[in-house]
Amino acid sequence: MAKEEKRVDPSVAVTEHYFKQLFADQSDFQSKQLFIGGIEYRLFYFDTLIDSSLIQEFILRPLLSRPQEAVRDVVSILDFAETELFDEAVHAVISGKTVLHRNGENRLYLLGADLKKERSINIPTNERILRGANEAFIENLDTNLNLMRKLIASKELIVKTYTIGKLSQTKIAVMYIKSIADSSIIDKLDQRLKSIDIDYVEAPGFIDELIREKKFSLFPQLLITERPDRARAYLMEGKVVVSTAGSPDTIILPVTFWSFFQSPDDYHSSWLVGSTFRLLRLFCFLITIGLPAFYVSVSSFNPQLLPINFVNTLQSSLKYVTFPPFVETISMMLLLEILREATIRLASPVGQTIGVVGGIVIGTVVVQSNLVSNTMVIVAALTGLASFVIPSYEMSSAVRLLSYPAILLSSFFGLLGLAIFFMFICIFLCQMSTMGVPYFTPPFSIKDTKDTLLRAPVWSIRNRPAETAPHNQTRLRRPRSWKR
Amino acid sequence: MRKEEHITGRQLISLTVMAQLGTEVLSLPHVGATTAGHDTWIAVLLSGMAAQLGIILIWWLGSHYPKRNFYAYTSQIVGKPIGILINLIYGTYYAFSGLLITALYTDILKRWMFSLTPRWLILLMLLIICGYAATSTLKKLAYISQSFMLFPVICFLLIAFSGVYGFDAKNLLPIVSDGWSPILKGIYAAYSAYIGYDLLLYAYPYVQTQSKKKLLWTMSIANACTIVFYVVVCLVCSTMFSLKQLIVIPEPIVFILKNYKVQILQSVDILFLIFYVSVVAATVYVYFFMAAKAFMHLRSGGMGKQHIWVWVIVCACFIAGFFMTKRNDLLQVAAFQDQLSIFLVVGLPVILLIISGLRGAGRRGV
Repeated sequence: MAKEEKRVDPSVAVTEHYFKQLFADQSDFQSKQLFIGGIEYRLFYFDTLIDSSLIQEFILRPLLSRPQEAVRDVVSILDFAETELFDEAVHAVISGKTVLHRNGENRLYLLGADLKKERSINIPTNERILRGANEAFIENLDTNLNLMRKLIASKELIVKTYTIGKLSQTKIAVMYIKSIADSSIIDKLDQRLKSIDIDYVEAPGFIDELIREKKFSLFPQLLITERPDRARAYLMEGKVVVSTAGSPDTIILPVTFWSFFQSPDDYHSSWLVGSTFRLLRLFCFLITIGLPAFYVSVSSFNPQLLPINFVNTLQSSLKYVTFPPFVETISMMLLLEILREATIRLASPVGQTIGVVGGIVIGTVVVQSNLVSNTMVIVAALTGLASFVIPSYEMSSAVRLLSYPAILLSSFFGLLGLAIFFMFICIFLCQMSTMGVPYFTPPFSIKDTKDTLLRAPVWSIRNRPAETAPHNQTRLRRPRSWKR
Repeated sequence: MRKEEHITGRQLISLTVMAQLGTEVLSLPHVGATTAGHDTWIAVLLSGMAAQLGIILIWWLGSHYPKRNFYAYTSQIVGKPIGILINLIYGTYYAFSGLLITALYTDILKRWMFSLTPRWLILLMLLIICGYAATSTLKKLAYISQSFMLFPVICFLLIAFSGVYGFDAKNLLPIVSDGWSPILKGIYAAYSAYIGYDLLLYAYPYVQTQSKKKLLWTMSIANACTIVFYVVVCLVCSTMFSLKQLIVIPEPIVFILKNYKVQILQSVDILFLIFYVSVVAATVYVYFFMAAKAFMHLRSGGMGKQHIWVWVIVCACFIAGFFMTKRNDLLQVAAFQDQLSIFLVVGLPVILLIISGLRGAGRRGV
């Protein structure tokens, strides 16, 4: 070590001088002088970070009552540490600990009496489901870890913490199941997390962009969730969960394309129903990308594709519309996006107006004034709805953005452009990989479709996905053996 | 050079089938009718058998060098300068074949749908998408082919069930009416439709199967799928159209699909032609991939990067595409390419096999 580590001096005055100098500008830094039983004590703390009643109760009172005994025996606080180095003490003070110095001892006591301010555990707001657990992660990392530990009461659940952010010193917890997860993935993640050298971390966005494989991919490469039960399900597949202090959103990696279409609800309903809904979501994925583009190509390029009656209806609705279908579609899709953004940003009492403005004023009047055709409004509404069916917000936004290039290509080449665009997406997905795991693998055998395209019955999914859990695959032993 | 990842037998099947199926599905019944007459389907079937022999040949050659791909062992068989020359020839051949197939498909698209769109624009778009796919590794390429497999399956079902609109089995009779010589000509004409199995030249060392025999078995399954596809297409066309009609119509399948009358889709044929782009692209990107790999093996340590080679090939093909615009020119070039491909896919491997056998025998003698 190049830097000389400053050791603690037995005299409290020296320590006080050191701290006072370091925190000269900090008005909330306190240094309290105490004389108990003839010995001089000093308490150093930030009064905005500590819980004063805890200090009264568990530090001062015991000290007063038994002044002759050693500090470690007297103080009844669980989070208790000793140090001989100033650097460590400084770090502890900043992170909310109280530092105690007894005159004549060349060590400092770091006492965790920090003020815990956290909101209570709420129901998930962004990932609603019908059945199953209703707990969501919160901003406090310890609470989140507590939730996970309670869900998986096993010694196999490993929690590794990292500190990232030169200034913010944000704690990050990496969780995985030791006997299932692939160690190469853990190593890769470890290497990538350690390489992050940044002033502060905004989770999950910063971490996502700093550790993701493909820099310019529109598709999300990490799954973000606020549901502990979902995190558990992925942990059990050998995936890794990364939780960050200060953010209720945890990251799950490495995920595949199919993970973005899974929802906890699938596993709580009958497998036939679950499979149908899974297929529905995938269908909505295709609709979101393709429907506006399909409309453009059919109305301006390949009207012969559809039955004559339908084409007549379509053309009659287009009769008085001045703009070409391309402009019409792009503007309606933009409008949809504006409405969506406005609904998120608006305060909830005002949010009601959006419905009126968006739905009635724009929807109806735009058609009545012949700016946009009837069919286009249906197409735009359907596309918007379909995009919100996709359970992951990141995926649904990515997919909605993808519809624009599709519209552009269709306006040049009609349906061929759309087909080429779908091929492009397919090639792109096939080439992508996250943490060395292929992102998109076409479900080519029944085994591959079990938890991807479909939600197979629980008793038939005996194995974990091979990519993330290569060594310990069996997850279900002797299913329904009571029947035999 | 990047190390190639292993692929599974299943992936090899889809790669091979997709590489074999190309524009021939559309034109084969017409080409067959002009040479083999009623017996197109027999010619196509026999041609598939011949292709099976070709597969065995390549497999045999590959099994001499189970750790290396074709481009790496050419110079081992015939020495460095000739080996490099052979790689160069293969690279050029694959790039050229890729271009030809793209041009043929562009021609079909232009005649059926895009009479006003400039030819080069369609060609460019197709080349770019194929080039983009060809930049991936063999494994990723297999994933792409697997995803595109959906379309041939749908196409096959559409074609096979078009028979419900009435066919005339009498069109098939009489069998072998003019002796075997037209059928032999038909076999030659249809052989080019099966080209694509030569992917095994490169892929041999990277396939994960239990044994060498299993690998041959896998390839045979792939070839069998292609045979079934082609034979069914030819049977459907021959029964639906008379011989005279088939000689006039260049793409009979499209007409057959026009028959479909679904309430919500007026013309299935347009959809078919458009989504057929995935089948064509799957052939072309395999060719571009093979070409890029051939150029990369010009030096034993690896020359250049794969994606750079691919984009160089795409640019070259795009420029060359301006010289292949007339349909007659295209057909002439295609006829030349047929001869070339038979020489390169069958002839040259035979020669290499003989040489390697002789040298192996010589070495054993010492």
